[in-house]
Amino acid sequence: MPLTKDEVLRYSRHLIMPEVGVEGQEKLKEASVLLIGTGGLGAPLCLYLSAAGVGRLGLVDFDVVDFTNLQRQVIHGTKDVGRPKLQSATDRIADINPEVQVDGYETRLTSENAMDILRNYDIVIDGTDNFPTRYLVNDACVLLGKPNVYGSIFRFEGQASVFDATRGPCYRCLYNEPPPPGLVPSCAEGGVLGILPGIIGLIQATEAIKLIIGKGTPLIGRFLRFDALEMKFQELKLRKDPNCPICGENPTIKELIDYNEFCGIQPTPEVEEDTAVEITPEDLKDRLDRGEVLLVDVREPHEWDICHIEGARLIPLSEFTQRLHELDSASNIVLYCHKGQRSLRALRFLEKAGFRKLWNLKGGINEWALSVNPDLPRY
Amino acid sequence: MHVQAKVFASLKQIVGAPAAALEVPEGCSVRELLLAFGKAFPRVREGIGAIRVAVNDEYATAEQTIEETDIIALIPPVSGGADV
Repeated sequence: MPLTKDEVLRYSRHLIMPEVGVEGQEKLKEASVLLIGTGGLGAPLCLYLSAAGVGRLGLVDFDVVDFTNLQRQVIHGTKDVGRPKLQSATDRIADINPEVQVDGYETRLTSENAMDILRNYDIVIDGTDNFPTRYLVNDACVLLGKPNVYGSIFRFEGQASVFDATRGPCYRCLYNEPPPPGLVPSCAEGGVLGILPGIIGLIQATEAIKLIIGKGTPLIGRFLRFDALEMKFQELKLRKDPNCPICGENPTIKELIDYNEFCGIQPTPEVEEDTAVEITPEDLKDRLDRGEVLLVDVREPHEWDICHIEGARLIPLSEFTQRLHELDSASNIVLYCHKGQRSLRALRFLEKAGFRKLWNLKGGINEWALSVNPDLPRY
Repeated sequence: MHVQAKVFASLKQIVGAPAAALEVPEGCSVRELLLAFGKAFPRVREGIGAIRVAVNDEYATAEQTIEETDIIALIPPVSGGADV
């Protein structure tokens, strides 16, 4: 597909490099790339791949822009809060480069739709935020023989690689089983430096462009680790696992499976169990006013500094075992955290230690701020 | 023998330092090293199957043996994002 006169001007800084040239730019124009997620990693990917002139970009996202996204998801602006991310990203791409065709999929990627969606693209980029989708993307890419440009982030650290089972290892060769809950805290618990997805997302974008134009050495069989605090990159050699369940010599996975089940995620996580010990913010307020309960905040000290409930005591979950003696099992204890998950873990722990009069604040301090004390900052 | 295993991502928080000092038998395998790590830090015990070990900048198999002079890194899976 030859370049138009406008395109020659737009891409001139690419065209004058022999490694790209007209040939490479035409390859970019003919290429199709699927981005799973338009969040932290997806934001820089959308911005730069559209600017670079990738002909067709598929975007999969069903989420809505939230204030807490803006610190890192730079494709969305303050005016976009409340809009579907897909719409906001599509508008921004159209502004950057109207030549790019955008296919939007406002849906969660599932075992039912993944093959049909991924099939239409040359390259798949994994910018997801959860393990079930990571395994789903990996397996679908292996089954379809597509390269999977991988990236993930945590606090100050990131990782990137290119998994192409036709030429090297896949994600399952590296991590053949998903981690148990608890080993990997979520972004909401762990936090993430805003620039980090920018760096990792652009490493993914660079790899995608290299794959398209067929230049350089791709990150196939190499795993790149980045540490922002140390400002260090570390490369680790990866090997294809001959016993890999999907790309090994005798694969046992021949079609997509139920990834929530595989990752140990229940469709309705602990809901029935929860409700027995749940207390709503309104009930908690009444009981606090009557002085009936001991309120324990199980978050970390730096979260306490952001906001806390008046009268609460701070015992971070990480110090629970050592500080158990500070609590009296005769008191009525209400536990809370940010959104109610860590405090439930703390509650189960106390139950095992013989405590009986325990409640978990439903929705954590976030819900408390929404329904009882709107003056409290939310994060 | 005494080994210093560098730890990354969530493991850094659990260990509370950039490396974990572990005492393991001579000629110990990667699997045994992980078991020793799980013993030293009970919070990771259930998760050691998901941790990958790199020896001298190369991902190692569970059977591979390690030496005192090897550079060892423990790398947990990282996903990022979701409130799960």
